[in-house]
Amino acid sequence: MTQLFAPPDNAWHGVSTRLRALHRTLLCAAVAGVGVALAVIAVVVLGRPWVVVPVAVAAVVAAVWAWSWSARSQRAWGYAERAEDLYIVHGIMWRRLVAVPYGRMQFVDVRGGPLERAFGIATVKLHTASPSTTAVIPGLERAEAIRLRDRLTELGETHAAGL
Amino acid sequence: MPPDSDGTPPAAPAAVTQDRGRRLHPATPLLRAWVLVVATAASVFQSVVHSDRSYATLGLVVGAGLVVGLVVGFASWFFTRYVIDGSELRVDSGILTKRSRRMPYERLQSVDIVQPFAARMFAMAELKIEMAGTSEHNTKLAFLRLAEAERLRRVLLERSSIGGPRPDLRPDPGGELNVLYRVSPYTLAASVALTTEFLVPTVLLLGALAVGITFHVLVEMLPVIGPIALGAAQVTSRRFIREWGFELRQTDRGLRITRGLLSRTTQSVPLGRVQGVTIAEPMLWRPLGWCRLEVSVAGHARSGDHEREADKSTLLPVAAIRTVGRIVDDVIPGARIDSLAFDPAPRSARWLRPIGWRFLAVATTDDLFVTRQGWLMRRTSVVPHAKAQSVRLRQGPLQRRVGVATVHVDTPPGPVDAVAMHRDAAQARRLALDELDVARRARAVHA
Repeated sequence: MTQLFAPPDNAWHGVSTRLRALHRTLLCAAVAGVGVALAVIAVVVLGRPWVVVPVAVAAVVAAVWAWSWSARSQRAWGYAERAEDLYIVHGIMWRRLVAVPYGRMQFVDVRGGPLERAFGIATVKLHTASPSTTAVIPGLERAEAIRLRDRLTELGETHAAGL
Repeated sequence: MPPDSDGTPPAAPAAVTQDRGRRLHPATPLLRAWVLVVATAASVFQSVVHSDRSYATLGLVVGAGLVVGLVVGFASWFFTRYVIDGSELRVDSGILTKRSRRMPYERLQSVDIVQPFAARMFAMAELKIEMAGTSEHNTKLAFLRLAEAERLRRVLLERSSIGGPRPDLRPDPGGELNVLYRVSPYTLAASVALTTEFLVPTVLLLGALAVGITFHVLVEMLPVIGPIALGAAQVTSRRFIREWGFELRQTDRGLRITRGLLSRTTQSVPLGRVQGVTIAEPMLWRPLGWCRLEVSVAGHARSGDHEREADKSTLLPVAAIRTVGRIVDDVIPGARIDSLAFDPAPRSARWLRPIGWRFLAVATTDDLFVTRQGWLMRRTSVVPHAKAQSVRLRQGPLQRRVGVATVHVDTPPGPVDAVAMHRDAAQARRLALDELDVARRARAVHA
């Protein structure tokens, strides 16, 4: 299995650990939100304060899982800039590798939502003429995202091929 | 046609419409409102024949609508003009809000002729012009005389970059329309009768009728029988109406399709922009050796309407496999799909697809990446290496258990979906990486 998604030459270029922090923040906030809501319902609506205990246990379990999932998910992302194409790998259970030849890129997007910006990261997305190409690299530090975008755009121009 | 090459600024289209360009055919408002025309005539006829006041009232209401429609239609016709000049087609329109649309010839994607039923009776036609981009950018010139529409299309196609002359295609010197294939009504009827969309409702219908007659509950069964019959009739008649008299012709700029029972559509297939083909073989057609040929063309506007997209991408609705092979050779030179050596999926794939695994196969040649899948509907997708956009490799948890993975070769939107499912993991990786290498070389050759 490791062979199947092995890097093309030496190693995958990983994404920033800030992606891990972003996912942890988001998931823990979600868990906390749902947990508090359930606890409030248990106490105020149902009038059964003891329900708070299993809710709290479940919330802690979920938070621990989210904590470790964020780390594994961040480690699963990788990309490799090769001479002719860009490889991207991601996914823990559903592992995916996509290879996009530079000559096939139509344009490159750099996106950063408010949270991503707060963590100083951005997402780079490559578009080809095919909508099924899912070439996205999240969690790139801003400078790296801009460098990658400029490099890809430049490579795309030199390799450009007609349809 | 007056020469018009000076760059009149688009800010003053109103001034331009006054003295330049041509109008559409004056019968346009009548043809557009033909339903109302017929309804009014019918109501008047009924009221005269039966001397019935209610029909007269109906006729009055419909007639008033007709008059309003005709006035608006006439005004719209009056202000619509088109100009063919040195570098672009310009259409000026609008009654209150003026629009001037300029279409540079090199940006044209396709020029099709559509003849709705009413227009067809009077030898009139609509010219449908697609620009690079989405369906929003479609322009319709309706209505023109058929001869004028054909002349306009020829002019537009000659000036556009669509297709481009292909030296390897030799159309008849006299007529450009060398018929490659024509679907006979019998073949079409048989092919429709042998689809599951038709057979399943028919069997259900016969069963319901049998029950109804045996137990004398036919009337009570009507709520069941009615919808089934309607559904079956709708599916069947749709294919009949759309694909009746289907003709595939060769021209010096690619292939041209003409189809339709009531409204006739003429559509060109620019061969240079073909991204791949799919050969579909429903189970019941296979004993007869029939199949359907669909083609992905770059830049076909995405209308969001699946049926219309399917109509547009159909190159042969039904034909013998040998004919299809010949046409595929025209579309993708040197394809030779009858001599492909398919490599079936490994036995371990049966855990993931108990029946379908036997029908999963992949073949690669110097020029093509070909995948096959499907039991009830076998689909063979053919993608020239030079047209591959990107390559994906994926593996889910179940696939990991049995040691297989799936390879996708992505192409622009269309019916073609080249996916080699459940290949042995090592082979899948090799398939994906090899495809990238071969595609790179193929692109270099084509560039």
